[in-house]
Amino acid sequence: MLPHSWKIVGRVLLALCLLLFVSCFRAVVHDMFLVNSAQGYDSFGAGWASSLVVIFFSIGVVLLAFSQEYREDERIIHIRQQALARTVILYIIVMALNLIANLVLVRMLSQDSLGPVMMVKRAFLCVPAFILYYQLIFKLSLWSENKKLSRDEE
Amino acid sequence: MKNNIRVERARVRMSQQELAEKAGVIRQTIAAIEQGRFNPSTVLALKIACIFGLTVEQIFELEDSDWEK
Repeated sequence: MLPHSWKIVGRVLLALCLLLFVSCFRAVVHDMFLVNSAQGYDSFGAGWASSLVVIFFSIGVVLLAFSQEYREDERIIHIRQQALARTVILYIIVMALNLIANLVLVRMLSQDSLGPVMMVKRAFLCVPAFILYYQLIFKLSLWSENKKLSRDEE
Repeated sequence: MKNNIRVERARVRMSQQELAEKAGVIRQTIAAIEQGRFNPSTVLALKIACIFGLTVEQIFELEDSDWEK
C-alpha cells in the first residue's frame, strides 16, 4: 500500500480528469476543436484531451484506491480485502459475460468477433473502472461497519 | 468468539481509545472486537492480553459456533 499522502495526488489527478472531461464535452458540443479545412471536422483536439482523461483517471483511481487510510489497522485491511474479493469476482463475471456475448453475436448475426488482442485490450481498459468500484465498495463497507458499531454502542 | 475486554477495561479504568492507542489500532477496532463483530489477529490478541496483564485465554473464549465454521 502506498502512504496516505498519495491519496492527495490521486484526488488532484481525478479533479484534472473531470475538468478535462467537462472541457472535452463542452468543446465537442460547442465545436471548439473545429479546424477550418477542406475535410471539415477535425477531432485532433478532442483526441489528445480524451487520452489525457483516460490517463489521469487510470492513475488517479489507482493512487486513490491503493493508498493507506489516514489510520489503517488490521480491521481496515480485512474490510479492504473483502471489497477487493467482491470486485475481482464481479470483474470475472463481467468479462465472462462479455466473452459469451461476443461469441453469441458471431453465431447469431454473422458479425466479425473481436479478435483476442481487442478482447484483451477491452478487458484491460475496464480495469480502472473496476478499481473505482472497489474503492466505492470499500468506503461503503467501512461506513456501514462504523455506523453499526455506533448504533450498538448507543 | 466471546471476550471480556469491556469488563477488563472497567477493572483498570481504561477507555476504548486508550486501549486502542496502546494496542496500536483505532478505537472502532476495539469496539468491533468487544461487540464480536471482528476477531483480532494473534498478535493483537496477545497485545491486548499483555496490556491487561492476563493471558489470551482469560480474555477470549471460543464458542460452539466457532467450531462449526
